[in-house]
Amino acid sequence: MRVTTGMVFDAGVSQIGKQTGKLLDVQQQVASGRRIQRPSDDPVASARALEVTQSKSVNSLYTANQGYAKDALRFVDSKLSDATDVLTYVRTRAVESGNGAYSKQDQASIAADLSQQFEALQSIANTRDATGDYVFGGYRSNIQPFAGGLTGGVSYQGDQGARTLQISASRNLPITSSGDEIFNTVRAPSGSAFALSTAANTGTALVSDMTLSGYNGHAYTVSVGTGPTYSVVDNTTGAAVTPGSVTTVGGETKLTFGGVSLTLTGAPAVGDSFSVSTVASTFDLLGNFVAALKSGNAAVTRFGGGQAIAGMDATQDSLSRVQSGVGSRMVEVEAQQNLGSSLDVQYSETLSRLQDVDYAEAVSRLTQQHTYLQAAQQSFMKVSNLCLFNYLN
Amino acid sequence: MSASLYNIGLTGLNAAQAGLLTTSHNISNAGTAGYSRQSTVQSTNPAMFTGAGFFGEGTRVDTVKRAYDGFLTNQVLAAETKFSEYDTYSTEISQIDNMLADPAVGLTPALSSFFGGVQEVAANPSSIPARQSMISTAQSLVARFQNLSARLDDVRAGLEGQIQDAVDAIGTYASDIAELNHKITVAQQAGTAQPANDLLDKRDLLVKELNQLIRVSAISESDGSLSVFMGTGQPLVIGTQATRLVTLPSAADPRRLDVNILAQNGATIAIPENLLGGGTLGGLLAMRSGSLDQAHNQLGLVAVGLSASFNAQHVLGQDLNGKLGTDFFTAPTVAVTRYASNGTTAAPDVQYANLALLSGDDYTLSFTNTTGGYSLTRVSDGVSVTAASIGLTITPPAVSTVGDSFLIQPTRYAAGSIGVEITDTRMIAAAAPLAATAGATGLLSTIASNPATTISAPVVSNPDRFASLAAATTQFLYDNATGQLNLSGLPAGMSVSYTTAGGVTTGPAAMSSVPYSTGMSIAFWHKDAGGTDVRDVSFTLSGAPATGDSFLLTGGKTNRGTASIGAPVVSDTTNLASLQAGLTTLSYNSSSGNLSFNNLPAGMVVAYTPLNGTRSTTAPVPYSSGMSVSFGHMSGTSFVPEVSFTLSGAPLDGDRFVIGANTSGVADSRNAVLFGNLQTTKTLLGAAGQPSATFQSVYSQLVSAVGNKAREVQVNRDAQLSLVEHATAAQQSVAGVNLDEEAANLIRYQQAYQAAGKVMSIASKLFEQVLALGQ
Repeated sequence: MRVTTGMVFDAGVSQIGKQTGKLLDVQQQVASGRRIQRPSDDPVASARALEVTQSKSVNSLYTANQGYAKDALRFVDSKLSDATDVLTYVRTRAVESGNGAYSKQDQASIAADLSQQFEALQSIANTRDATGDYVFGGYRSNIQPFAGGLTGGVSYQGDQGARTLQISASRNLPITSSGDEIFNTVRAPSGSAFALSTAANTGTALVSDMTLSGYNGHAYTVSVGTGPTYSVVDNTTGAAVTPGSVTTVGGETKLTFGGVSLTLTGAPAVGDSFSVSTVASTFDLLGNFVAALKSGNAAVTRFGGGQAIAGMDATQDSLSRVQSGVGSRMVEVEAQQNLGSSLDVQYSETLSRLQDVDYAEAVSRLTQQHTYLQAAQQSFMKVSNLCLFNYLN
Repeated sequence: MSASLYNIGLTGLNAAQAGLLTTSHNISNAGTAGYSRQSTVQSTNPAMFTGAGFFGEGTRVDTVKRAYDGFLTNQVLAAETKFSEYDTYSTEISQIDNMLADPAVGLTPALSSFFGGVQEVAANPSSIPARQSMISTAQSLVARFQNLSARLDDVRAGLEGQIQDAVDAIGTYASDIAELNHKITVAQQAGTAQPANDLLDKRDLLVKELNQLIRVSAISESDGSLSVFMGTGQPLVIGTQATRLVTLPSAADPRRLDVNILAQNGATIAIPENLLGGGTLGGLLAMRSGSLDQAHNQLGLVAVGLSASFNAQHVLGQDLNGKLGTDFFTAPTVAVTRYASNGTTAAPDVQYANLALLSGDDYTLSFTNTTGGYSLTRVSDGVSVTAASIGLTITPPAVSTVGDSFLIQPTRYAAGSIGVEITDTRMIAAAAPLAATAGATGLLSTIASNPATTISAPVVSNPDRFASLAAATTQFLYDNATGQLNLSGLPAGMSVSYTTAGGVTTGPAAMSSVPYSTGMSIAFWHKDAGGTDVRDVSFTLSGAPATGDSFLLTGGKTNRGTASIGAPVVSDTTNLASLQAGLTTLSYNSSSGNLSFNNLPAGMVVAYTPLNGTRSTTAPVPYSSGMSVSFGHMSGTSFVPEVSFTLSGAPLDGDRFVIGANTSGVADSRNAVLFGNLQTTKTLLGAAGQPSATFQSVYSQLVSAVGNKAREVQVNRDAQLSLVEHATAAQQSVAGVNLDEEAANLIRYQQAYQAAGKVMSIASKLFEQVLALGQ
């Protein structure tokens, strides 16, 4: 082929341009550490890298939540342990109070002690976390969940919401239990029931005995009318129940209804009420016991003590149930943390493989391209210098 | 004799001089663009006949010829127009490619940090800083969308400007070629009909440069002029006439420029884009419709998908103030553009119907009758579609003009117009609006003993006496003989008022019984320190009670059984207000094993799915552990669930489950968790009836599409470049100047000149010899 002078120059410049371009690409790869400078360098890997980046960031969100969850669970666990300590102490005192040798003063001092324990337990139930949220209030973290006190009774102001944290794509982990579940759902041992006087009662009547025979397990409310008269409502069905018999002997009133035989000691006031139920609140049980100890009536104290022991045991069961749930969730969080960190490593590896440069290979390519460019430049200089005109004179 | 020798020497001298001239011209123009090497064509002069035969009469120069090969030149043109198209496309698309290249400026990190903000709220729903971080990250996400969209707008503006420039340049080239046609015709027809080599080179160069702007084909005419055609045969230059081209806003979309032919009479005719291939203009048009529109629409699709699905979830939630959520992002809208050629028809109303069916396509709607009948076609390929199949609902106006058309762009401008509606941190609806309670602890609740009668959920208007009311159990016992409800268990100091359905109110006063009438309402009051009556709680009673029936108002009792109710999930807001206003109660009856429902809002239907998975909407509802229950309404014959929850465990007779407002539920993050799930939920690009892509994967698809196209164009450009180089080399090897060759020619013609001079010198000597004879 006939070669023209222009072709020599054009071809030389074009080759040098191409080699410079390639050298620049390799240089950028080496300088940035990234194999893909722009999506067009490897469209499939670029898109895949974006997806993996999202998975990695989602995983790190879950990791953060796992940290939150672990802190929260640890906090709840320590509070439940505190509550257990109080309950154990109360139970010990309840057993002590059964000691026949104890005088009324001794019992009054136990009552004073237990009043303090009542408040300690209430303050545990009203625990706030580091951000000022009530831990055992369900979703109502801004409202003190256990309002009231020993005299008027404690009522639960929270709800049954279980606060959760998402610790993996498919797991919303409950991080607290509602106070309702822990303190308000104390179940009497099978076949028995709790008989309680309402804390807001204004009269002096207290429960001194209850026997069950053919009890259907329903919840009953006994209300005191003028006279006093007694009306009974089956709370489970909503129906009024006519008491089988109401006998008042001395200061004792004995009522029978629905398989329950209930004895009240003292003078009830109009509007007072008493309940019989298989489910009760720890605070009502403890409050009733304190009232019983204060009454100085042996029968009332005996009944209150026995019921308090059963009640504290039942509360302990409830606490243990919740606490073991908390423990197993902590184990679960740890397992998820391990899983999450290994997943993170895996995602990082994938990302690195997709977009990072192999330095050994890139540096070798850089040297290679450098050599090529030098060769192109030097050979061009040699070729372009050749011209017949050099020899014309 | 010597005269003849002189003459012959002179012809040689002239021919050598012509050779030197041409060679010098070649050397001087070695670097001139489009120059074709020239050479003299020499031949012998007619010989002189003598008896002894023919004696030569020297030489002459016939013509100056340019080294030109039409076939090779056309090869270069064909390669160059393709190269120029790919080169332009490549340059333009690399702008988007580079924009998407940096992982720190793309959408991905903004999307991730936004969902990080969402997770913060899900983890700490009552924390104001967490809520602020969600709003701030949302604002930066929105800004990122807008930046990307603005960058695409810049690229688009650049493209439109370049299209305008290219069309102007094409017009200039066309008129230059027409003028050269005129010069060449005149020059070649003058006298000897010799080729006007330099003018031809100049015209070839113009065609070559025009061809780099748009693919043209050229035909030489007999008079020496060149006719140039573009696209599929539209004449650009005929003889000395050049077609005038102008750019005008498109009739369909005034934001785009169309290439138009300006006719002699001033009318303009738009040339369809697909007819304009090759060259810079072809590259620009291909970039605009092939990549830029798609990238813009795809980015918009992510914006529409994100804002619409996030809003849909946000309005199902409840904010810190206890109000239902409002739109979190600015609601996206479908762009409907009226054709410039339209008559007076009102625009159709176009709304999003199904996000999963949206795609990055644009559509054209044309009315086919006068009552709003229309046809819908996809712009990219002209295929007919239905509104339902592309995820839109189209409501045409009642009156329309046949032929009026509208351009429908469901996603084009969404990325540019997305915004955050909520700035108040409290308005993030992180909570679910309903809460479920097993039993009724801590709430005032009501119980009717007879299913034929109902008592509404109590409305507590003053929490003062909440505790005493909750502690007591207030009972209304119906006595048929007197028609009275006998009260018992009312806390001391409280008074009663009642209002009949007709609105007649009695009380408040101390009462021990009230006359029953269906639809009546009862309220309890107490006196404050000043002796004023303050209403604490009210409720309504209805139905026909029998003697012994009772209504209870209680603080609620804990369930005896261990069954639990899952947190209710809200999926529709039709009856949400009614559900929030009342306490809808499920009661378990152990003898029948069924659940009964109280206070279910009118018009709501219950559906239940036991663990075996057969959904039913028929009463009664048998309880089974693990079952799920939904309240909803009927839409035609299909059930639309509004709120769903699960029940599990072992209930005992009379156990209740209550669904009601999530009052003060500030630590509830159920809805925020659902926001967070949107990040990994497939909501877009439905395939086989199921959404197949997350927001991120749609964006990744965009990056991949742009990257692939950029790569494809780059590869084509490089391949085409080597074709151009080969074709140019072949063409240059014919037409190009080789300086070595020219140097040799210089010497050759110099020697020829010297030789011819020697001939003349010898002729002179011969002549002197003859003169000397006479001396």
